Amino acid sequence: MKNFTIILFFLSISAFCQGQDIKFKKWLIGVSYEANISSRQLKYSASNEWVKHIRNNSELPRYGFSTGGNFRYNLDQTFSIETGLLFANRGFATKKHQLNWATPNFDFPITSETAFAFYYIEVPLKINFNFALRKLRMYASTGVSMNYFVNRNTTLLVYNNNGDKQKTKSQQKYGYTKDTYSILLGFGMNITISKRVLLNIEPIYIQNFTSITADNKAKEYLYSFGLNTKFFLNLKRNPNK
Amino acid sequence: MKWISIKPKLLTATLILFSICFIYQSCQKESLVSPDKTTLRIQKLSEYGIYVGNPSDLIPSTDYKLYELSSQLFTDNAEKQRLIKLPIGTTMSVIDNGLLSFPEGTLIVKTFYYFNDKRNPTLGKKLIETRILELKEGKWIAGTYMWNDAQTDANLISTGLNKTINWIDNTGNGNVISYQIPSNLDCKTCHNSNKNVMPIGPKVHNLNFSVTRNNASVNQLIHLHNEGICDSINPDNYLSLPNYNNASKTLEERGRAYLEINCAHCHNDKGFASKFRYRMNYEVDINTSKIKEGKASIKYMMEKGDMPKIGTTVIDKAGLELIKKYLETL
Repeated sequence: MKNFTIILFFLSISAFCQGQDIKFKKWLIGVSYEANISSRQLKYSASNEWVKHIRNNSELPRYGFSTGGNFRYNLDQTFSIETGLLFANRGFATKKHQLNWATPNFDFPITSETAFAFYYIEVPLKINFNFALRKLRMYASTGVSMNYFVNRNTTLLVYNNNGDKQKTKSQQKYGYTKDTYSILLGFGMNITISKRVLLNIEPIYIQNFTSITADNKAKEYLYSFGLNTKFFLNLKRNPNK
Repeated sequence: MKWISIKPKLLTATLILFSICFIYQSCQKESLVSPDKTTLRIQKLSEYGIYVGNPSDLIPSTDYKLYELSSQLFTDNAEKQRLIKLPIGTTMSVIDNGLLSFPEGTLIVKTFYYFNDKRNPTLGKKLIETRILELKEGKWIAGTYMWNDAQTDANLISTGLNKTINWIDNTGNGNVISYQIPSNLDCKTCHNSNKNVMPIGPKVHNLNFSVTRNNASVNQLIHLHNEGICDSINPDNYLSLPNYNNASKTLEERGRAYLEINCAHCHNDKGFASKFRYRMNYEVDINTSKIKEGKASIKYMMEKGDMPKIGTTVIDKAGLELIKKYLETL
């Protein structure tokens, strides 16, 4: 719900904002927050296809995010290059699982679900192509991201009869590829907030093209659809004022 | 202007970086590995003929001999049944440092399960997974079989999987965990000795204790010899690893036994964590083990659930209390 509120907020801003012809400096520094819905694709060996079916029938996408600092270099009015250092949480979850007990007890949990969060330090490198669409200043963006695996958090949620829920967390660091790579595809809007502040709102698709698991019989690729919001700042006063 | 001169360089640098990324990606073999000699090939556990009758009764066939360990590895409170099968006419023998030598073709079987209600085992059990080690061409090959929901058979799984398990413990509490069935890679991490897969549990000192067979108490080493699968071993010549749950043993014996069975398979000279200072084997002198120097770190890592790194998803509360008490004595 919180993520949807953020999305709606920024979409509202974009509806009212129109492009202003302000030339920003070559170098911009910024911060970003991306709210996303992420999941995974599975590529299993033939003998493990049955595991893939079990997982596909029991797992769902889940909300994730990425946040961090960004740098942009404007090559000219049309092209810019972007990089950054981000902390990301992507993953997936299980459907709710009904719990059956050999000796029923009202105090025992009735359902459970598990969320798997993969934490990464990401370094994206993107090229933006800027263009005007009516009065809006848009851009299309593509690039790659180098991702360093931090750990996987497993969160087990159990729900009781009285509506209470309990959370248990565990961490896993082994069995996952340390360095993975993703492709980024975005389509965004440049919104000038002031002469020194630029806001980007960018729906973005991120897809791993190297597996997150170190297993040689099962490949797993995370992907996410998100809305990235970035605030960029001119470090010096704009000379085009 | 200066930026005009650096723009082509930046563009070139960017293109080179992109190219490197894609070349790196194309060099990586993302294709799946076809069956090889490092994993078991049999797809169904039933093909081994381990159990007779209803598999969930866990009654082994005559070829498979039951064995127990005096101290057991903690695996999220799972119950375990251990079996071993040796080719007919062959035996295990003792080699250096109380390690056992197994004949070619040995199968070591460990089944993980939970009683539905531990207070009343007649209410049945949930079989989760059966792990097998097979000695083939001089090398141990590992494989994990996941039991189906009907509990009639188990399928070979090499990829690892989380499975929600619930059971009632012996105090009447309802427990739920996200049990982690290990991948082949996980198996090789814990069972690593000089980059070869090795059995962890069956060592002479961990088998050298009294068990009950045919309603009589007998030393397990003697029993295994009587069963025809072990050379004659004089139990008195070997150390007996204490059961860390046995309150009649000293705190030091229990603490060191716990660290031996839960930590030493990685924290030894040849293990996965050999680069770290700790040497957790029971027979290692306390000063050489570095347990005393690292006691604050050991306590912190166990309390946080950072240790062990794999194989558990919940903290062993009883084990943690034991180790905290033991460390306080150092």
